[in-house]
Amino acid sequence: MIWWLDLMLFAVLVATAVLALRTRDLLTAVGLMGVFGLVAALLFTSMQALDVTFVEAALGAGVTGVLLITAVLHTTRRTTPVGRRSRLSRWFIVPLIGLLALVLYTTTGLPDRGDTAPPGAAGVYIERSLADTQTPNVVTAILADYRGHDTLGETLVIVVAAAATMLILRRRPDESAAVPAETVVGPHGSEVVRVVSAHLVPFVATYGLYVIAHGHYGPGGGFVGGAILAVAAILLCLTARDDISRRVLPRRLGPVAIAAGALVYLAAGIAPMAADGNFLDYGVLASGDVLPARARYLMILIVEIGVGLAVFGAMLTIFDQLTGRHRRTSTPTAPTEGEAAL
Amino acid sequence: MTGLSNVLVVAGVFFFVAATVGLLRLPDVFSRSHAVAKAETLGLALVLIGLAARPGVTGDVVVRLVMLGAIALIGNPTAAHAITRAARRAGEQPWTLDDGHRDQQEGSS
Repeated sequence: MIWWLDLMLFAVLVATAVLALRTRDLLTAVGLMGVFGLVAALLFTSMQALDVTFVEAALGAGVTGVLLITAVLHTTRRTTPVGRRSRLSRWFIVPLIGLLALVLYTTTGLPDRGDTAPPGAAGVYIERSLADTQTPNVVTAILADYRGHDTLGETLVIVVAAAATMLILRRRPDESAAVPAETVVGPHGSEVVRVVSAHLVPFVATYGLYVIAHGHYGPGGGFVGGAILAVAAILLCLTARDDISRRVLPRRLGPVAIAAGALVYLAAGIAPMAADGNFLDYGVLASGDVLPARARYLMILIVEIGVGLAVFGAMLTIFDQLTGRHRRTSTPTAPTEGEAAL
Repeated sequence: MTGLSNVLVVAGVFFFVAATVGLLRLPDVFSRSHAVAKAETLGLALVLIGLAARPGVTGDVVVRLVMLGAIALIGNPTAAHAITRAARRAGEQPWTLDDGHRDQQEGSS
């Protein structure tokens, strides 16, 4: 930990956040939020929280930017100027400052960074997770096993977000297909971009699957892996011909992946109950050669796969809904000669 | 080996700084992208080679560094190409000598 590097990164972080709030151009704000995600990821790296770094880099600096840009294309690029703030609204700052002071005060009770034997539950997790779950990555053991209820809740939050997007943007069959005026999907006009993306997509997708399966041993797991899979899918939609992306990623794939992922997680929770255990208490599934620790190890993998499916499906569904990818009736006309030369 | 590694990393950092100066000082999106894409790709390659040359770096780390370099070597120019192409299509005009003369006159008057 280099304290002046941390301080510098933190200053840049705050500066980007303030600039993103103050700019009138929403696309600029999206770009600044990408920078914010990247700097936050660097800060997490300097705290050696690589799992969080990974999530922030894939989601904060990656997928979120694409989703926000498609949302801006759907709505408006300029924010309406805010009128003079009323005298009353200024007083809202007082409880906010109080809350900030409270949060800062509670951080004094946190164990030091890198403390291997902190008091309370954290110390127990660090001490016993390898014996309990055969999982060297403590973060994965906590997320998918000890705190399985929390992770289930987080997964369901993402499912609800995707469902809400579908409900808000849905069109009845009799309504004309509302496709944003500027569209980002479809074949990219540049052959360089098309060829490079076509060759990158399988590698990115393979990497996403690797990250989902490798969460036991390294940073990663279902959330990041699902997001990286979604990056591959979105890159394909952004650059490949419509008929290709529709064949690889059919209309129903997103929602089906969400439902399958959530059901896999719920099933993993209910299975121990069938063996007279508690919800999400994988240890009771042990039988014969499979020791309780091994059962927990295997169930963590199943849970990660469920989370990965749900996150991938949610990202793809939100992207599909915002771009209206499947509602587009015709592919845009081929680039004219002048454009093709660019 | 450490000396060679240090020289390579410092050389890489020099190109990063050059890219940043170009981004701040050059007049339009095309020349800025030109400076950043080229100098940054070279700088990253030099830093990665420098890290790979460090004593104690094992084979599997070298493989990862090579893969990082390959991704950057493909991704950086492609991204720069896509950005400048989008700028051109959005109507951005390249900076010319005429613009330079006009800026100079406005600056002096």
